[in-house]
Amino acid sequence: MEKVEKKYSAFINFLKTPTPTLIGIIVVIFILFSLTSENFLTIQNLKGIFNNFAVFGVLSAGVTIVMIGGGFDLSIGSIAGLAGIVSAVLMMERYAVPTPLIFVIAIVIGCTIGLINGLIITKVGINPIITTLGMLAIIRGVNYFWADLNPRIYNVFIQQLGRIYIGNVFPITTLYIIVFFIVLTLILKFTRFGRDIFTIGGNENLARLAGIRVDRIKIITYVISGFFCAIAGLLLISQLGSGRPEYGTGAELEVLTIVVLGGVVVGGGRGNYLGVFIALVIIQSISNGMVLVDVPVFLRMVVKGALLVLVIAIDAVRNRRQLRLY
Amino acid sequence: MSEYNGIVLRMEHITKTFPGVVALDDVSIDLNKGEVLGILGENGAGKSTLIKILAGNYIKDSGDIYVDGQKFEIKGPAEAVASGIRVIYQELNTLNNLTVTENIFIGEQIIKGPFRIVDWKAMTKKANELLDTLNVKLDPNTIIGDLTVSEKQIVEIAKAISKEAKILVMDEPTAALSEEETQSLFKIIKTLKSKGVSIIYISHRLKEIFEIADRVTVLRDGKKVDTFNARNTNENELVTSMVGRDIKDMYPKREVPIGEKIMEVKNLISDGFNNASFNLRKGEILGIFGLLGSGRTSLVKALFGANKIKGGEIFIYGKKVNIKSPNVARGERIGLVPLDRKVEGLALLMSVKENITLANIEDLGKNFLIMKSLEREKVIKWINEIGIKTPTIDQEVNSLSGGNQQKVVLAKWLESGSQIIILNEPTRGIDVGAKIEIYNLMQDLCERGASIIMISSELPEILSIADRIIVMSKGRFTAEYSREEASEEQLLHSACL
Amino acid sequence: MAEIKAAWVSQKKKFRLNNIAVLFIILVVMFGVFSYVGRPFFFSVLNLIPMLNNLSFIGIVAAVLTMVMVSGEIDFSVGGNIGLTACLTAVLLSKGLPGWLVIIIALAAGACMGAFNGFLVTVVGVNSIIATIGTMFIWRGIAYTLTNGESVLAMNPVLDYIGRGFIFKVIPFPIVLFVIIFVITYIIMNLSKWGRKIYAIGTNPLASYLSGINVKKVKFINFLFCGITASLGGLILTSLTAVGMPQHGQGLELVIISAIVLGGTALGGGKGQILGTLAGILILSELYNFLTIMNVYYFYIQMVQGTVLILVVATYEARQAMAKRRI
Repeated sequence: MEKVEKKYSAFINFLKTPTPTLIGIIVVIFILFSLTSENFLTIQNLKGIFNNFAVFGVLSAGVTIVMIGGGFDLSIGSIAGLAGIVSAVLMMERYAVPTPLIFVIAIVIGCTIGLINGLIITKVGINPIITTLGMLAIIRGVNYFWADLNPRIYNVFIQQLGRIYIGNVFPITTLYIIVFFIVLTLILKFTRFGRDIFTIGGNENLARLAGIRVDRIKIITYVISGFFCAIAGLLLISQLGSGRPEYGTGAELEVLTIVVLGGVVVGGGRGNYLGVFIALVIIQSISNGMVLVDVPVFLRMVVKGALLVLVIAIDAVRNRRQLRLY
Repeated sequence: MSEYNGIVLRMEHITKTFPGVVALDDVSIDLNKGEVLGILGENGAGKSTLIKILAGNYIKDSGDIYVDGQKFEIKGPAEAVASGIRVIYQELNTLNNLTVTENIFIGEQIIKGPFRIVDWKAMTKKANELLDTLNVKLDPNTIIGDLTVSEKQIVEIAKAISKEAKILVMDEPTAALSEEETQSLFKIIKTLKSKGVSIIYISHRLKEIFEIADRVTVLRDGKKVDTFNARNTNENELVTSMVGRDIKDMYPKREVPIGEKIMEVKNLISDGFNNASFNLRKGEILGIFGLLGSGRTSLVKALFGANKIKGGEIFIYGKKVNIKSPNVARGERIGLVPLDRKVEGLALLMSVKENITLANIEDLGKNFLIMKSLEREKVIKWINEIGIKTPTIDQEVNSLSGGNQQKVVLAKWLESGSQIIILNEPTRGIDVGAKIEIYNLMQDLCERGASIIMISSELPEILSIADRIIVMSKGRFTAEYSREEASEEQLLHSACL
Repeated sequence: MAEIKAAWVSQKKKFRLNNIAVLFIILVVMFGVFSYVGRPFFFSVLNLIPMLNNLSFIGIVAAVLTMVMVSGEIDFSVGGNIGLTACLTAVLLSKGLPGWLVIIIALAAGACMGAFNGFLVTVVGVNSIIATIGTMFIWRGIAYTLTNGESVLAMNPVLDYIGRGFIFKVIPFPIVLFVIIFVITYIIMNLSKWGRKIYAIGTNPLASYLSGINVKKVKFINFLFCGITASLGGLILTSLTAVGMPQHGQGLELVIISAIVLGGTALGGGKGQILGTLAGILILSELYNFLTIMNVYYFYIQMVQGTVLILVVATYEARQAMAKRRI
């Protein structure tokens, strides 16, 4: 009797999260687009959708964990770009750095910048939005050190990294994302570290009173974000075939939209990867749908911006703790 | 129970001062093992400072703390917890999106195995055990946000005892509880007692103290007055200790002619209260008495437009008014001196001058510019009339004493021409001398034709100053008394209905 | 005790003015250094006039944005607004609409953008940081859509005058606008009732609300004027460059906000001086102008902008932390 009760209450709790709504939205969108364009529901197209969200998916993995802890990371696009272009440069013939080392270097770069972000935010005490906004500009500038090199990717392993389809149907990048999300979910649910992140995001004061090492954990979340930025950077150069300084620009917009739509509250303490995954599919389907329906390129940008505003407005209304008096 | 197993907590000669205020002055308290010690005292007596020192949020200036005979230097919350002291505050500290289990184990989740994985099964089991110990039926998987205040409190208690708590400090625990829920809490307290937990129980409510406490310590003005055996004392003795001086001198009351009805409230409904109906007459001081959670603050906030009115009507001079916002209330000549003056009444980092004119910026000049000379004139007038002690009008309000800060808030509403002034706990956190000044001020205003609504939980204060007293309990009006009729027992009785 | 208190208070006011005075001294010193290192070009009419023009259009936006920030909000979308205004102007002109009409439409568009921001923040209740980051992308996207990603020529006698006209044959029009707007905002913030309300709201919005101030209205109107002013800035830029590019104004948020914070405005609101913003704008414009002349690669300048933002905010956070201990 107790076991049934437990499962019942856990299920009720699940229903209360935004995730079921998201599932509903996906169904609606798929129906909508498959009606407007006959190409939407084809295997070819679906393969494309799922492959395209590689970069955004990996970036969301890191950002979600930062945001659950109450933080923010706007520099993700630039960091990914940096990791990407440095890796591309190092793979050029004249440097011929072995592939495993490339991975290591990329990850070190991502994690270091994440570390710097984390330190500035916790030790110096600057607002995360300002810090990561500034970092965004700084790293974007750094990327241009190598602007005139224009390295192309000939390294087979890296080329395949972002382009393989398992059994010719299932994009390997989606597999990466699923694995990452599952691992992160396990960490969040089954480690003290993960639970502490929720506590910090929910009520930082309470966390401190409980003896949780808040600063340390926050820094680690930024390092994790940096890690995933590095992976995303590698996927970028893999899928695009070359290394250019502007890669990753503007990724923050879509990732933020995805993460907030997925139920991660700005301010922290709530969020789960299932929601983020579904939101990922939703946003990517919309992007893809717009291409199929022949929406002009730049209008798509407007739609993306509008989506962000919409999603955040919904989040604000959804989470209003008290009526906004002033 | 007259046999105690020794002294579990001893606080000796504790002193704590803040700039301008001595919060605790050489206070010594001891707590026996397995007993419930009530701590009584008016606002400003030092109760919350005491709690914060025990919890490690404040550091005492001098004195010693011994737990189980061993001296402890409590430098922060961690040491407090380590020494076995747990505090449950009025404002519950829970994470509302997480479950009961998660809240109980914040920061200390049970882990198992070489990989240190969080053991949900064990945690749920332990949570169930704790709840059983407290004789409470609650599903540990419920999300805190869905629980009632009483249930949230139980979760906090469970959290407190999840790691050996020797001393549990409860700050006004029944503030938001119903009579039934209070009795449940008392059952839990008795259970805890039998398990050897010692409890410090802080409350205003004499009736409860008599019911649950073994001994009572009374604080007044930062000093310990006396400790009584709860069985051997009575209300009179306690109240006299709390107040300390002849009531007549402390509360100067003048007879002020009372005029026509200026405000009428019919069946007002909002969040926190239901069906409020009353009149207010010119020159009158109407007191509102009730315990924490009775809906008093919600009522006055609704009158002031800061809470949304869901039903009922308000008439001023016979004309129906729709008070949608503080802006409108101000226009209807209503002013509110709020409960938390530092957060709701003053812009602390702005000057006295700017605060006094805050509610009447429009009158500072004929066009869009501010006439500095006109502003100076107005501000100096009020400073003199009310007696605000400040070196200059540009002084940051933050550096004024509590009493003077309150006077600034009052001046603000006078400057804006308020006829109906609502004061929520007007003398909270103010020293005795300033209190008397404020009482006199209030009556000056009444003599000049204003009307006052005053919320107070200080029985002697409200009994002396108010012309009529309305009692609220759990969101309803339960009684109305004139000054002649009212007595402490009656007020308390009505407040607990 | 009273004498000590009085002395300390006037000290605080002096400190604030001293702060700005220090900034102006730094400004002059920098100017001297740059003139020397960048000789002979830096200190020449060929450089100074364009620098002043540039600074004018940034400064205009910064002045009104200061008002928004002192009230406790922020507007990241000003750069996007500029881009949108630029493209809108260029496209409308190319369709043959008369100059004065286009200008009115552009300013109206700015008003709409400002109003939308205000709506999101006061009515919907979205945090202004995120709301304006979102609208920044929307305006930028619309700008790209209008011109299909290309740059469109924008030449028109009326428009040309805005950026390249002269008053009394010597003073460039943008600088006149700059001075006028700064004077107006100075008067508003320091001498008017509206300004008093803004400072109160920034210091304690709840207490202001509970004192009868219509907080939402004040914030909304601030956003509205911020939008109009940003459009005005966009018009100036379009006129100066004679072209409407969707990239116009990209990254400007960074510079403007850095300048405002440098000038003493706190990110949380309640503190800030128009004079300080003036100093901040002058200093940063000087700096970036110098770097540009020295042929520093654009994206490295971006790096400097990012670093400056972080440094500037860090300094003021530190100072605020010290101030907070007083409460």
